[in-house]
Amino acid sequence: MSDVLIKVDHLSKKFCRSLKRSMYYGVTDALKTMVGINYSTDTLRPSEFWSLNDISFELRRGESLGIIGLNGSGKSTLLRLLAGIFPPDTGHIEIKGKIGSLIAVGAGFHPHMSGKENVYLNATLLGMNRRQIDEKFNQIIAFSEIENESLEAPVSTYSSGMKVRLGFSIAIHCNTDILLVDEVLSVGDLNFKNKSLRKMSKFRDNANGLIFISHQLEQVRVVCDKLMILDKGRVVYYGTTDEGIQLYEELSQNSRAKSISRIKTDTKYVGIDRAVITHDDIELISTNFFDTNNSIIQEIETNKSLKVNIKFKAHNFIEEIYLSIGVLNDKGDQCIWLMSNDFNKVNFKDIEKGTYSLTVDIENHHLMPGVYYLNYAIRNGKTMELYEKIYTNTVIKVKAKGKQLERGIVHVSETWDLQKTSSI
Amino acid sequence: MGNKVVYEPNQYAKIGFLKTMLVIIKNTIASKELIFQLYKRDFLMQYKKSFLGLGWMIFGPIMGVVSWVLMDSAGVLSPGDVGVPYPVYVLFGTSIWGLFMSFFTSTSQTLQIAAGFIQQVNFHHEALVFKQGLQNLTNFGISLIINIVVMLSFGVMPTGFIVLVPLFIIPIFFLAACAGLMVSILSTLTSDVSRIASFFLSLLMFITPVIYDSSEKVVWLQQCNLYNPLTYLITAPRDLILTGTMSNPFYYIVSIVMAILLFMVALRFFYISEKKVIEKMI
Repeated sequence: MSDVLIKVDHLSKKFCRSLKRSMYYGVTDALKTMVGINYSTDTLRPSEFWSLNDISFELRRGESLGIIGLNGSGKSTLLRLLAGIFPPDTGHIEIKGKIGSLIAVGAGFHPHMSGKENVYLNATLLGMNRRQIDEKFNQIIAFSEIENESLEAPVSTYSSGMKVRLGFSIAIHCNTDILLVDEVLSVGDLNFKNKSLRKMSKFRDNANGLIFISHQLEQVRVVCDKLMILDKGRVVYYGTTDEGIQLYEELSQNSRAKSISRIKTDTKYVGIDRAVITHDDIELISTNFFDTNNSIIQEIETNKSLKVNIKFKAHNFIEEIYLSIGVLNDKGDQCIWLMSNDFNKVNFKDIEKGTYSLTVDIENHHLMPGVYYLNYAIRNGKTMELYEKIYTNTVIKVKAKGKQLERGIVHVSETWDLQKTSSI
Repeated sequence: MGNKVVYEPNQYAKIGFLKTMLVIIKNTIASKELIFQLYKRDFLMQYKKSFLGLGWMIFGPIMGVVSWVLMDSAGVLSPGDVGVPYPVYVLFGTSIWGLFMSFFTSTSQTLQIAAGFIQQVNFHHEALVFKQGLQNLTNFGISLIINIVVMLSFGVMPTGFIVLVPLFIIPIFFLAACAGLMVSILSTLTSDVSRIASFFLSLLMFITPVIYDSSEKVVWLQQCNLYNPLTYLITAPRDLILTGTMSNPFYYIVSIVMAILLFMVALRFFYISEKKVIEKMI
């Protein structure tokens, strides 16, 4: 394994879901250890589950491996096992070289100690001696962009961005052969993030090994040449970064669609997730997405026409109503928001008692691949009283036509053309 | 490029007892700079947000002296004839007892004091045990100086055994750390252990002749004193420093040997269990 820096072989790790049982197992295991009784760690006891299950991979010199996965997939547990913080339950890990972990930046920082004192404390924790810290001190400070006057101030006076910059800078200057980085660049300004990504790439290019966890797929793409996707403690993909990211986006969309449809079965009203305001005069019957053939759809490709249909009952006469519909992404951002009364575009007057069907025709929805759901509101056009505002869980999944990554906020069709216009 | 490191299930339990001791010594020596940094972090920083600052290191023990002197002068204590002025007698006893208690309390918090970073960074956790010990020695050193001043002010001259104080402290640290390390591991798993331990330790002070002379007490208490190793670990240094005599040298040596052996057992228990316990600190 001359070029192999990390070799992980059939690694598994278990945890316990029940607090009481976890206490019981912990005490009995500790007492067994104390009296020299060997106990097996490769089987599950009641309430235990595999947080990591049968993981095997290698990291070679000069490689960087990105690890992505939904929350609870076991990414941080894997990093803690590689760092030697948690012991494995089955399998084994071989590490060749000095390993540095950036699981949380500024580990051990004391709020009352100055920035300078914390550099020495944190770097010592990460395995540097005083001479090495003295040598690297100026580089650490320069990279962190902490000003000299702040350096003598307690870190409790630092912003969260400053703490991250200082903590990251210490870790990246720690003379390690392998660096484990866990989602630490989520705080901090863009310039520092870019500088840190370049530094990590340089670290990898100097024939070191890097393992990088992030939910920022663009960061993973920049830094990593290999990708592992974890799902419920198992490796579901191990290969090139671009292909892996494409697969991960599909997996996470499916997961989001599943979680939204789960809500649907629990709800009091069919097709309604959360009613913010309701009124006796108006009763919602159904909401649906249609395609151009007027068929109910739950999936649509990018750059297609889309229809939204809302059926409701008016129980009393209403002189005038304003209607609005919105299409929200899974983060709650209102991607489409249409109102009937904008600039008197449409006027719905003299609404008699009865059942109504509203259809809004959207020519090319321009939505990015992802999962979206519908909301709508009805307002009395005269009194402006809000009759109903309902976040439905009528969901539509937008799929890319061919290969498409989630970048930007709207989807457009494009063609690319590069022509030489003159010689220099 | 560093050496190859392998992580396997239960790997520390497979190491022999004596080899564990060697590994711990090696790790502690390798962590000397970390011990100093953590000492600085936890000891000096506790006074940072205070107007009196490091002055508390002196004021704390002085307040203790004042309270014993006041109680003695008010006649609320009846310790019997202890051979030297009672405040001097009790101050030495309580200082050594205080050292035992602070060694115990701090080692019982070994994993807990590093809760903020123990799951983020891998380092030799033995450093935490010895950092805690160093912190307590500093406190004890200061209260010892104050005790000597009090002794001199009462006209009592310490004997030459005073220079052996660093040696007297070692077995006390071993016994306290033995109990502390066990509690540290087990109380991380269940808080019952720390509650039970604090109850037993409050009882322990009553069966250790710290503030009274054993010979003048009831028989059952004398029996408790007899089988309590702390009796010898605390009274022998106190009597040697105050009077230059020791009543039970054999039991003192037995207690020292027992403290060393128990400490080694506890240290191994800590070493082989701590990683399994740390994962339950989430």
